[in-house]
Amino acid sequence: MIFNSLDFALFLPIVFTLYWLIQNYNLKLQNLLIVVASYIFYGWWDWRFLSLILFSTLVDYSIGIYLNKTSDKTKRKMMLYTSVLVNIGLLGFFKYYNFFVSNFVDSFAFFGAKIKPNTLNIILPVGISFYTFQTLSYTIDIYKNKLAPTKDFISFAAFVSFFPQLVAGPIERATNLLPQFYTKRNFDAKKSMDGFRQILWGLFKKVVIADNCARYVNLIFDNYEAYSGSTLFLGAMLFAFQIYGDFSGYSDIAIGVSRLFGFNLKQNFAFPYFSRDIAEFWRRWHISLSTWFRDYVYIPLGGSRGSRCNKIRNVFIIFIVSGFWHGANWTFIVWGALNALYFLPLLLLNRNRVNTNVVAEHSILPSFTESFKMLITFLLTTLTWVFFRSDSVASAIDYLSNICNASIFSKPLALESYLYIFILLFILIEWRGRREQYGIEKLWLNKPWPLQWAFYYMLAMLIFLYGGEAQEFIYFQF
Amino acid sequence: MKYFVFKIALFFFTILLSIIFLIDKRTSFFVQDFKSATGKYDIVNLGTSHGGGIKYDVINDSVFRGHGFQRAGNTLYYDLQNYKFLKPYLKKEAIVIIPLSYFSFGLDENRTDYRDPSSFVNEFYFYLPKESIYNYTHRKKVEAYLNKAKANYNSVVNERFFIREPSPASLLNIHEHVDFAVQKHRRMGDYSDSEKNVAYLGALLEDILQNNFKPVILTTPYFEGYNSQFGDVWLKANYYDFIDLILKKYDVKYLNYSNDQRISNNVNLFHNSDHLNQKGARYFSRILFQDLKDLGILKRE
Repeated sequence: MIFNSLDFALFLPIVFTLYWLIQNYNLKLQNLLIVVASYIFYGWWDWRFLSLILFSTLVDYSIGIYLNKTSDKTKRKMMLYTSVLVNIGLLGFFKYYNFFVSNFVDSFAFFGAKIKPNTLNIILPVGISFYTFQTLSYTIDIYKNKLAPTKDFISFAAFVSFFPQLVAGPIERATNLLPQFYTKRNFDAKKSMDGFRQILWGLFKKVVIADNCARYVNLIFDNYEAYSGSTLFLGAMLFAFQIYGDFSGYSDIAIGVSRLFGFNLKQNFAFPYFSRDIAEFWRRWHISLSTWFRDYVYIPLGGSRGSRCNKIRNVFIIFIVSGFWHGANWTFIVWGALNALYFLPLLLLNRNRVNTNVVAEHSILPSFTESFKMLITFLLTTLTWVFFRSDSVASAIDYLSNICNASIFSKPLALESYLYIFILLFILIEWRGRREQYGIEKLWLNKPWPLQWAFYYMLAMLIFLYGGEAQEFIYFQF
Repeated sequence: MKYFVFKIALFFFTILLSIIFLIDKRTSFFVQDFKSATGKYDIVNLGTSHGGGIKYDVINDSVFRGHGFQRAGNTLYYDLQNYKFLKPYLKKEAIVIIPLSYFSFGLDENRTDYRDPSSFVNEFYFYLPKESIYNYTHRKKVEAYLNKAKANYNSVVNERFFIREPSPASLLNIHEHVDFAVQKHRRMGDYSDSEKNVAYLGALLEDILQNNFKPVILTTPYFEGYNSQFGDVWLKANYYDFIDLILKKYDVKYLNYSNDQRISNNVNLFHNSDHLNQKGARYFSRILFQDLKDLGILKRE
């Protein structure tokens, strides 16, 4: 079930009503409802893969309890390795098996040896990269004694499968989300209204911005040999908007839906395109994944401490692993490596934490220097998105080299004029709300209610009328 | 909580009202034709946009009623359903013309190749009973109405206020259009299961004959390049062989104007490589009705 579908439009009010109707009876019942609803939500794609979620849930629940029972270091370590093996094993098999086999065969072929590849026709279960990371963090946190394991299986199952963020994040930490399942949730109209606003804004980003950009992005990237440099440049820019609208839109809807049910999820995107350098960009883009890798990979490796060589190694590891997490393709690895290259000079010059505040925090407009820095950061990011979007590294290089010729000065492909208007509106609203959790969090809240509701009405109608051809969320494939 | 639910419900009710307003704003000419069918017709045609080449006003008779119920890219399955819908509106011994296109035997029932959101099957949800719609679902019906609201909005606002680029096909001259149209029409069907379309056409003819109406199958005139680009081999395998099957089985007239030398090599009679312009359509219609008279099928006028 996807958020921008009729199915979800029916599913959400039904679950919402049932959920709040039973709030006075039993917290366990409420959590059970979340589990059932989440399994229905997930099973809508392919019910067979529910067994994977259940398996992952059972394994980490049992390991969590066992870790708490024993203080034997070896046994604890063995338990941790089991959890890592099961979760990464599932991920590795479903996501990376064919990639490794075909690359293995290619490597042998390079040296003249022919091996018959034994690839499998594997369907990638939706959201597997997200929920495996979520359950893994639970076990690691217990192992590190940062978290007490839960004995409440229903709460744990609800934590693993919580439908708003099950298939595309944000990847929640057990320390933040799990305790929320233990405490009674009371309906809070203000919080729900806020959730409703965030859902509306997320849908606008996904349906109006991302899906409309996708039409042109698909056309341009699929036929890049036929287009001028200016059109290819436009295509790369549109993809930058598409992926941001798509993924941050999903996160906004997930966070908004969670708020309707009384939960608080962490912010996943903090206006990353208003970043003044790459380090700031990575503090603002897909925050739940970046911090996951920071806490469970980068810091255990030594982080930014140690020798210069270690720093360089750690940065490359974290960015390449992060790239590889996105998909079994060399394009993602190159994407990660490029970001590492952008990030390294800042780290080595100790300038990676220069821009920690919000840009133009106390003014309406950015200064010339800030604008210039934001533009450069955006262009550098856009360049890496070409690798992210292309089918292969070779076609990404071709794409970029086709941009760099005289045709960059020609007239680009004409877009529907309304798309420019919407992108401009989108940038303006995001800029205005850059100090908040999401673009319209406080927009016009101090204005009379008819004006507020007229704005929501306009957004809803734009979502309905200008919704591009329904596209799945890009991050479902990861 | 009640107040929150009330506010949200009211909000969505307003959205719903706006959508209903948009749905009622305009109906496509095609659906309108079916919805406004009244009285009795002497002659009708079904078929694809190529059937638009038949103009009934060239028959100079005020009591004679004819109408074109063609629809762009229509499938033989929906020709059958449209005929069933129209049956009560046909006079005794009415003529039912079935214009066939080169892609007619290759299409699947609901045109799954068709672009969204103005999905091919949507319009049928507005006038055909649900038993007539191939793979009917309530969900699809809701989507059909929502898409209609969107289409109506687009036609009113977008076309008026936003500059729309002309479609690439409309910028082509007739010779360039040949390539475009042939490629597009070949792609429209997969031609692997053409027998089912032969069966739909058979069922249509059978019902027409059983009800004592007069069926006529025809191929409208195409620009000569369009015919030659398709090629004789392809046309025989994917079109004429199926027509032969039909002609052997049913007592039906087939009139083939595809390569009619009075029309096919005259650029001035074509809108593009496979559609006649107004002048061409009127010229062709006079020829057609004269032929129907000569064959004793058309007895009035």
